[in-house]
Amino acid sequence: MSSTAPKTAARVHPLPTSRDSELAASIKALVLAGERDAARERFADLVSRQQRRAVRIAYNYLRDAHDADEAVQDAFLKVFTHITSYREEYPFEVWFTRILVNGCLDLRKARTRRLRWALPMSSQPNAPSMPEPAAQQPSPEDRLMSSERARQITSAVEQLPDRQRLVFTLCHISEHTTSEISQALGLSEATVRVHLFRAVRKLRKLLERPRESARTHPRGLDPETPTV
Amino acid sequence: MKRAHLSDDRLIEICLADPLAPLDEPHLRNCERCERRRLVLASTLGDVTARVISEADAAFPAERLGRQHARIMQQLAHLGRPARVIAFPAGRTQEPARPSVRHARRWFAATGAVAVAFLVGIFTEHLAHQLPAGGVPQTRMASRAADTPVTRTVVASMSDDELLGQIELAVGRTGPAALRPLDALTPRAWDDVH
Repeated sequence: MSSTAPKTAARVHPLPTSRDSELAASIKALVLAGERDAARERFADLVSRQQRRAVRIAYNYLRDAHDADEAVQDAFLKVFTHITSYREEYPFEVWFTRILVNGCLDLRKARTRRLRWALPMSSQPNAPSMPEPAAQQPSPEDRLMSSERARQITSAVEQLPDRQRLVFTLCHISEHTTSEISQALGLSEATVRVHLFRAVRKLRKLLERPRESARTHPRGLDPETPTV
Repeated sequence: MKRAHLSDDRLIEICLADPLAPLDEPHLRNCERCERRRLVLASTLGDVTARVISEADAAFPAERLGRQHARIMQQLAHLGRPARVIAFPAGRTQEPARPSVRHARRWFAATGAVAVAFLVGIFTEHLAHQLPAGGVPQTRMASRAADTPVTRTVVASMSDDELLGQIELAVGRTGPAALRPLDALTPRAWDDVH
């Protein structure tokens, strides 16, 4: 069994000049030269490269496909309209992630305002406030994994606080380093590490398999064995 | 001597770091139990990551991503272009007036309005001087003024009972006849007392 956990320590100092960063720099140069049509054509390539990653982040943060769709579209439009303010010395992915996450936060606030007025009108007082579209959509993963386990995992991820879920998503799905996440979210790296640590600890607690945990560490560890 | 096992928090730190910390690497190599715990935790994290990714990918299949891409590029193509003006009614496209022409028209209209108002004022004053001093309007006003005190004295001299009686009579006369049987059937508190 190989570990799929993120390699945070190994990616603390990434190379800023990725392929996407180069693309973004060339688009910026084209816009500054007044060649907007050529810039748009090149931007289409950049959208294709970043789109999948963007919808994963937005969907896991917002937990709603329509909102995630809107957030991703807005983020790409903002990137193109403000491409002249992109600084080439930083990775494009970090700059884009920051724009995307800010858009997600705005959408989330707007949705909270909408729900504040919509909930009293609801005929089902016990209806869940968070939509769960993914739980009803079959996927290849559902076929491979037992549905019960999949439900457990979805439920556990949804129980994470927003910030912890976002940090976990950026680290494990988007494969950002803690340094990149701290730049994207405007938090210190230590704070990002704490959020990540707490997210993993909470997930572990929620998803602990009874059989395996009983075999390996019934109450975390044997009481007679000291720990370090 | 019993060897110390790794704490849960330390295991999480190790799973979030790569390569393994030099301090713990030998322990994990030699301690089968801690290595098994680490693998379980890594497996759990792997399951969560796979699940989270599959959820997002199921919500956004390739077709949806394609539509989204097309929408983004379509919106970008319209950025910076002036909005299209739709002619209404259809077929009658009216050229918008130039700002300078519009400005001059406004000035002409305002000057004309002031001139008309001035002329009307002069004409009215002229008419007022030509009318006789004790004309019809003044007589009417005088008669109204004379009527008012009489009405006031009548109201003042009327007692409350008389006033209420008059109101009852008025209501009785003007009330709808269809409601009178219903009124008769309605119990009255005053009748019960007496």
